[in-house]
Amino acid sequence: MKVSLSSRLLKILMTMLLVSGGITICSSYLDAEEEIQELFDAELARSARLLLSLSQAGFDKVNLSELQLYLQENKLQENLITEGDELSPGHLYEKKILFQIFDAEQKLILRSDNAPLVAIMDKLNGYFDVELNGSRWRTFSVWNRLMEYKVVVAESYEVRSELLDNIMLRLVVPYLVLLPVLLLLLRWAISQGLKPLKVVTDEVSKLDERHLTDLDIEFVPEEIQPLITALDRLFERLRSSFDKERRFSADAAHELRTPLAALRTHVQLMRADEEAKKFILSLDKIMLAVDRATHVVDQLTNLVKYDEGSKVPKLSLLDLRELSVQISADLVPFALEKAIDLSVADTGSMRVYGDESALGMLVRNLIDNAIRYTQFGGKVEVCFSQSVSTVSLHVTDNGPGIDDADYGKVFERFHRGEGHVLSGCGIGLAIVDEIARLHMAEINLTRPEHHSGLHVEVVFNV
Amino acid sequence: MRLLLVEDDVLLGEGVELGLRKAGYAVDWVRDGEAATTALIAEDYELMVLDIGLPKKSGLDVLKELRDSGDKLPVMILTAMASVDHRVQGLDAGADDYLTKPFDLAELYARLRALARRNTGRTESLIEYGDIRLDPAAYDVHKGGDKVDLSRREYAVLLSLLENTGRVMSREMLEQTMYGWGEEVGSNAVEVYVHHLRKKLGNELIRTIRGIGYMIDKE
Repeated sequence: MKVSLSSRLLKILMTMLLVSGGITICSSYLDAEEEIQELFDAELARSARLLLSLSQAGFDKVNLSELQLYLQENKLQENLITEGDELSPGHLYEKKILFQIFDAEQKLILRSDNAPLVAIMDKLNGYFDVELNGSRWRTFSVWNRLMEYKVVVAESYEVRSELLDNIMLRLVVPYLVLLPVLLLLLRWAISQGLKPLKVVTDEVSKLDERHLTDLDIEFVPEEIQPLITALDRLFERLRSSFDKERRFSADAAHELRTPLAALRTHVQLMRADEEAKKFILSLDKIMLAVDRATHVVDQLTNLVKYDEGSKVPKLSLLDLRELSVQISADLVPFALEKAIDLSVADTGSMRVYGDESALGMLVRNLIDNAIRYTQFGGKVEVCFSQSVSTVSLHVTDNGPGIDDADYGKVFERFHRGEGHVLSGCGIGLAIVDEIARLHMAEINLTRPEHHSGLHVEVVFNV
Repeated sequence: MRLLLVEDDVLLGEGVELGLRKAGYAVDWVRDGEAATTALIAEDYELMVLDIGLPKKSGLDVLKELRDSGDKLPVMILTAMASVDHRVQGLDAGADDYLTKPFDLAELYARLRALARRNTGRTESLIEYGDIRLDPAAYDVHKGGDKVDLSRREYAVLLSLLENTGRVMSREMLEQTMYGWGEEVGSNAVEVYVHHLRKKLGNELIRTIRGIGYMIDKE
């Protein structure tokens, strides 16, 4: 399963933010609610006591019905939606606050215009909640000390809840607005925080399996250090197993030489013997097999030699054409056995920087391959071209060429085209590839323009 | 001719011993370094064929001791170590020639003959190829019994081609062999001499390998 570290981090952080934000908002809300209840309850009690004091001080001197009438006349206009203006000051909430005053016989003697004619609360002193006109009201009742008057004040809970809703809104909205911004900031912060991981990834992906050096990273965060140490250790193990594999191939090739020499010697002795004349065809075939095995052993030795990844070749300026002529001269007898017309184009000198023995091996393998895979009577041409910054070697044959599907595979070790009966061992191009890599040269395989066969181009930068 | 063969591999040793006996050598075969040193002290040999990787004492040590004692016995190293470094190491230790396994018996015979020849000072011998006979000692060439007149440079080209039958001699290589024979060599000189040689000795003798050089096929 693919898990993104940054989205995982983002999820965790966002969850934490949401939960902590939620808790903060809830507790603020509860806190505000409690404070508001206290405050409003206190206000309610104070209003009740004020009314009670007023009643005690003046009811015996006032005409209560006139006072009641006055209250009715000055009532808040029902249709007044907005908060009062200067002419009729007031507040929308006024109709959500009411009072009733009773005398000792529980008779209603005074009430606010919006108060009902019956007692909304017949209990004694204190705070009570009642249901009135379909909504909940908070009431406070109080008697004066002589039990002459009872004042009941009530306030709709709507006032409180509207206030609370406002507070809630003010808490939540900024939070919701900030959330996406926070999300973006978090993303950025996480990607910044994970940068060292990317550095390590880049560093590791740059590595070549043949060049497993220790990682060279400047500022290593503590958290990644164990990973890097583990990687370095893994590379160390890989290096040593590559070395072992190389040594194994070299040793195996080496150990095969003596038995091959013995085989060859004995076959040659037999061949020289008159009595073995009737076996001569078989003996020749054994010799061919020995030659083939020897070729494999030689090529393995060469491959191991140029495969030593870290080995930097000894570069010197040399003439690629002269080198090709020398190598071709060695291979002419082999070409003549198959009546192959091997030629080297007579261009001027082609100077490249390279390791003489390695480049010689590269040229030898290309020409040798071309001869090996070209039919009797074929043609192998070696020529050169140059541009301002490159020198190219071209080896072209008119053999069967390679299948389209095989173009990518020919550099693999022991890969050989299907169904051929020739004596290659499939390491030649792998060796060429290794040597070209050491010289930072580029290899191109194409089909020749006008005939079948293979055209190998090796481009050297000069 | 007495020859000491030092080879620890029984299969190969038997083959080489048999081959060398057939070629007319009186062969003593030992299988380790110490036995080789003992044999060298006890007997007089004219040639030694020496493996490098030997039990008890390495071939290189045997060789060094031999040279330190002032013995100039011609030594041919026969080894599985194929690299140039190993070759140089062997030659530095005092070997006269070096052959890598697996090798051709015919090549072993030829190299041993050359070694023996060098040792006895007979470096130049008559070369015969088809009906052509070249006598390096007298600088003269016969074809079918008739003497052929060749210039010194034509002779030089023919000699190096005949000494290297079956191998291509590049133009540069042939030019170099001519430097020893006098004046500067012009740019087309080799082509000109090959042309002359063909006229005097027949067209089929020298093969042209385009862009590479010339060769005379092995007989």
